[in-house]
Order: sequence, then C-alpha cells, then structure tokens
Amino acid sequence: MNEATPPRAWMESSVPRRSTAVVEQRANDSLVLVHIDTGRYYALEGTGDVIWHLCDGQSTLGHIVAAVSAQFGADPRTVRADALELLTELSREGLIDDAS
Amino acid sequence: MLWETVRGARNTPEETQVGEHEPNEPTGAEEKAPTGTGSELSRRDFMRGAAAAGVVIGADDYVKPTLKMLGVSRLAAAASTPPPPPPPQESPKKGCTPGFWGNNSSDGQGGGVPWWDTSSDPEWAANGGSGTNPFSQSTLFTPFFTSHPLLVGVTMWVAVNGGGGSHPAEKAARQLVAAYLNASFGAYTFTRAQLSSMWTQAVSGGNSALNALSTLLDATNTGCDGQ
Repeated sequence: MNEATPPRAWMESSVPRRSTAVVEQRANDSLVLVHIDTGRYYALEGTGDVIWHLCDGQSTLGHIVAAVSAQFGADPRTVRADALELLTELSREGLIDDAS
Repeated sequence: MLWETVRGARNTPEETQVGEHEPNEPTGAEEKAPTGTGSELSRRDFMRGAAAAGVVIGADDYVKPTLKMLGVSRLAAAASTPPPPPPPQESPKKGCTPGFWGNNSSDGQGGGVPWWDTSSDPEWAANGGSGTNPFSQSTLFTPFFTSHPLLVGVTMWVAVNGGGGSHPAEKAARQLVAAYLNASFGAYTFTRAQLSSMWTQAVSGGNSALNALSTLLDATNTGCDGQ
C-alpha cells in the first residue's frame, strides 16, 4: 500500500503544510516522524526539521527559503534546491500538502 | 529552535560561507520549535523581515535536509497483505515498558513480571500471552538480534534492564527487548519481524539511527497502565 501522493510542482507561492496525521519525536540530531495512517516512520536530518517546522500552512516556499538562508547564511539557490527536493519527498509520502 | 537561534544570532566572521555544507553538530538550539500563534508569527515575521533586508543571521552550519524512511509499522504491513489481518489479540494486560518486563532486582522484588524466566514459561500463557515466550531471560541478545559490539554476550535480561550503560545501542536494545516481548505477547504496533529489521537497520545506521529507534520504541512502550 502506498498512500503517497503524486509528485507535485512546488512553486515560490506554494504554502506547504504539515499533515495532521503526523506525529513527531525528537531524537538527538534528527526528528522522527510517524505517519499514523500509513504507519511509516521517518527521520528528518540536517536542516530538515527547520524546514519541517516552517511548513506551517502560512509560509510560502519563498519565505521558507529566505528564512533558512538567513538562518544559516547559506546560498538561497542551494537552499531552494534542497528544500524543493525535501518538499517533494515529504509530499510524496503524504507528510505535507499545499495549503495555497 | 529556529527562533531561539535567531534571537541569539549575530553576524560573525565565522559564519558559514555561501553554499557551504558542513556536518551537522548538535547544538543547544536543537530544541523543539515553539508552536502557537504568537511565537510562530513573531518568528516568521522576524525572519521575513530579516530576509527581505538581506541580513545574514545565525552562525549555524547549513546541512542539506534529508528525509530517511526508517520502517513501516504493522498498520502499513497489514494493509498491504492480501488477506485481511486476523482479529487483534489480547493486549498485554499492563506494563509494556522495559521496567515491566525487567525487574532491576536480583531478589525478584523489583516489580517486573517473571513470565519469561525460562523457555516456554507456563506463566506466559497463564497471563494471557500468545503462544510461548520468544526467548527467555538468559537468551543471548546476539545472535537472536543482529550483533552489536556492545551487546555481545549480553542476555536479554541484562539488555532489558539497561545493559549497564547509556550508549545509544544499549538504550535501543532495552526498548527493543521490551517491544519484542510486547509484540510476542499480543497486539502491538510492530511485528516481531519488523522489530528485528528495525534493529538491523539501526545498527547499520549508527548512533543517530539507534537513538531514533530508542525514541520511537520508548514512545510505543508506554501505553500500558501508566507504566
């Protein structure tokens, strides 16, 4: 079974939103996510948990990239590419959707 | 986390260079992000403003975000199986924690249950357990589970009681033994096969994965009578 949703195109104006079916638990340097509907569980590593918490259903992808870039002093182009890759994976697993 | 970092951040010469990827190092800022409208909005507004102004904030290393799938619980496995799953077995009556299955006392007065003292312990079934206990207290952790250097020669009994240490492997093993007993006893979130696989993956993944497994099972092993 795979409740994964088809890959979607994330745009600057997209508003990623965490699924309410996901519970999270911190484990040192990673954040463990459990999708209570699918039973799948994951580890978010690196700056993944920062992006995860910014997927609040109000911040656009553009805002998220800007915030993470500012937070870590990283190249926005790199952050954007990484964020797009992560959001694609998260949405494919049904962990987020687009509130826009 | 983010807000805490932002509040204490400043522009410093040692800031990460543009596009630089550095290994993630735990920091005191790695606490769970505050939630709630007030702090959330303030943080967001602050970050938006800072970003719009082109201000570089924070000296944390940027590490590429990644999502790793750790496993699938019984819920997903059951749904993918063609025939419908059997009716749930009786849940353990109480105490799904390592402390329930362990004892922490050599004189047997520690409060743990003696339902798996021996192979095919009659008390296992007498107390509602399904089939027979999967192992006894004296069974060696390795090779029953995938070997880890810190658990060679360690019995299930020692492992469920903490193994005498706080290493991620020992912490995860403690939860794993309790989880495996729970899965064998009756209804449980994960199957025994899944638990064995999760342990193997965690050993391969190192301390971070072992910590993740420990945390996950710790959260799963707390549902019985407030143990």
